[in-house]
Amino acid sequence: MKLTVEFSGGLELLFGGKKNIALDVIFKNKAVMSELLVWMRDNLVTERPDLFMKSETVRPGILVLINEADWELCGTLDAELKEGDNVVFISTLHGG
Amino acid sequence: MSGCSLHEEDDIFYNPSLTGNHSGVGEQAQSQNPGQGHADRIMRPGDGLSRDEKRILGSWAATGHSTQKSGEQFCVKCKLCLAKVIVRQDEAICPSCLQESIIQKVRSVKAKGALQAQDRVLVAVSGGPSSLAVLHALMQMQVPCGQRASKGKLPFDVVIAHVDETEVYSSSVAGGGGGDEVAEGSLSSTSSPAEVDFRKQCDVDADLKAAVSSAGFSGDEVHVVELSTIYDKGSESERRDRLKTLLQAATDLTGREDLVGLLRQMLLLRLAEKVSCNKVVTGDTSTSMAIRVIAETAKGRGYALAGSLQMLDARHGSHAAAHVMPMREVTRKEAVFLCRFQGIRTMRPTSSVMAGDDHALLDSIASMHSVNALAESFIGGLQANVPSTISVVMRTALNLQPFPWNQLPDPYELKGKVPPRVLNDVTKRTPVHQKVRLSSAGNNKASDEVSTARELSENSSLQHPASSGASQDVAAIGISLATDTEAAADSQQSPPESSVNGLPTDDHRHVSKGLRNRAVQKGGASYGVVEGDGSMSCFCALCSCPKGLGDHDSSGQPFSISRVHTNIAEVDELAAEPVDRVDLMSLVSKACCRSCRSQIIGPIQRYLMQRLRCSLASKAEVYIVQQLNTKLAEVIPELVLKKCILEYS
Repeated sequence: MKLTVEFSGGLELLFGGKKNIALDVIFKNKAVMSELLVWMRDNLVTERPDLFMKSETVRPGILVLINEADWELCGTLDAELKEGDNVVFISTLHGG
Repeated sequence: MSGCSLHEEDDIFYNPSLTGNHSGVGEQAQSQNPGQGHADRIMRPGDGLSRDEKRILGSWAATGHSTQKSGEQFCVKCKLCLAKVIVRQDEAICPSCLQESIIQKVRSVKAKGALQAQDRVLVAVSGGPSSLAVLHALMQMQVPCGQRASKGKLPFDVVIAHVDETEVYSSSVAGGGGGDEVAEGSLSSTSSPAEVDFRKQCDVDADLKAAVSSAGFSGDEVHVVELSTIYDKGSESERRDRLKTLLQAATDLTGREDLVGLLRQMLLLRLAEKVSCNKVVTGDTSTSMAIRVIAETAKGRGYALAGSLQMLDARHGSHAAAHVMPMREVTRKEAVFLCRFQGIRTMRPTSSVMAGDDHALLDSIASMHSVNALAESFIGGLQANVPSTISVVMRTALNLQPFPWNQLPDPYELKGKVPPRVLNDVTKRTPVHQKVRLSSAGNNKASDEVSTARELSENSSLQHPASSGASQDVAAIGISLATDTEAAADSQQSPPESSVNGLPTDDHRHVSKGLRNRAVQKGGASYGVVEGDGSMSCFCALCSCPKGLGDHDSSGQPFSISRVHTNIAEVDELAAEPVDRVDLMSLVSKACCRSCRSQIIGPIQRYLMQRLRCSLASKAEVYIVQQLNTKLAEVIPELVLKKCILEYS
């Protein structure tokens, strides 16, 4: 499934400095956020995975948007993903 | 301050108007009793679940469709657009309602007097979402000085300031372990390769300009100051070295972070003075404040904590810039989403911890070797599971008494721009505008009066049906005020007619406009008369009834506005210990006439009700509130307002 992910607020440092990445993800089970996170941790994170994820979900302080909408509206970890979806991860540490 | 508790707003999603139009898509999580009043509604799979369960299950529970990618929910506020973000505990709102709510909260600085017309405001933009959000909101309510203030807009100047801390830190300092590593590691010299590389990577000036213009700023006063300019002598490299030496002297990370924060504050104040700004605005969010509460308490700085949690912080006196924090009721998440929805570009922060080597940055976040980082992680982690964390922490911390320099301007002073008219030498004896610490109940005068009027009208209709004529009149006045809240607030803003010592004459905030004008004409020509024998009879500043000095309180002062304020402050002090019925009643009896008395009773009543809600009230206070209610009922049938005026016509 083709998806795009975006990083902001300093998270790009964990992914090799890239702010936008186009992915082609093969989901083992269902195409939900929890699976995507695990996939990203295994395949995309270049350093310090503990700063991105904490016990199967994103670390507190990281906001997630799916197609420009809060992922809490879509079910957080159980939010389903479709082809072409855009997921944004924003870190709110040091909010400024 | 939203001040949510875990139990408030139970039926926030329960909206009967939704069911008719949006039978399938668009219904929020329902209340637990779907049968109430909605006999025609189809039972959905999600019915019977708790609200938290529904939120977690998302759209499935709301609509019954098993695979729906994004919960197609409608905004709970406007109900027109699709909701895109959840704020507070479980409110799903759309981008325009989010924008609206944040702008309203920032705009309240104008009503509270923290920001006034003709101010020059230095906005400290760190480049992060909250400072850009506050800039965006301020630009929405601003017209440049010199232009006429249109509705809702205030004329003030905006100057941007950005403190650049990139040159300070290098890898060995920003992260790493505790004191030892840091002391050994060297702060980079100005020409180390790592530093130069980093600087090339981000062009601070260009990024800043892009960021502030995306927030709506179009002026040209943008100042980027390096932290080392805290020193005013020496060359650039000398200053940087001095700063590095200073920071190296703070061997623990927490101390160093706090020192950098302090230097940043000093630099902003100094810059404000240099560019003639009287206000400094920062984007401190409720999230930052909650983190600060935990961190400062852990460091043993509880005494001073209250001073930095308020809207206004003028601790450096009236000749230095005052610090205003308009975003104190907005969470960081809301600010981030606002920037996202409005297309506001955020910068890579140049603050100390983020600059320099990336490894150090990551180490510092993960290692949590400072109390501040620990507090941030604590609040963040707790908030993720308990969404009311920030509001509960803030509500608790705001019980701490603020300092005198947190006090917002007197609402009377806000509008009083009329030069005082001297009446012989009596006014010199009269204390004008005694600044006393107001309880929170007394601050927002306009809404106080309107709600008092509403209470008056309610009481009258309930308790004295017999005197229907009188109560109808009062009810009419109450209603005309209740519906005219904006006018009531604006009446405070209009310049007062000829007043003697700066005190406004049209103080009949509890009188409808027609009556008020008559009163002013009757009693407002002068504030007093000097008799032949030198004694003076003054008019009460509140109701303009000409009572002689002796009829006022025992200190001989005419019953003026400042006196009302003093009385409220006395209540404040009295309420620190168990309140005695006699004390309160004596306070109330200081009023010169019934209208003034009812004006005192309102704030006292409200204050006590507030304390009752906080369950701090003693039995005595409960009794007093009941007594006051009775008193009020006695007062009303005599048509407190009209009679007072007619008597002295």
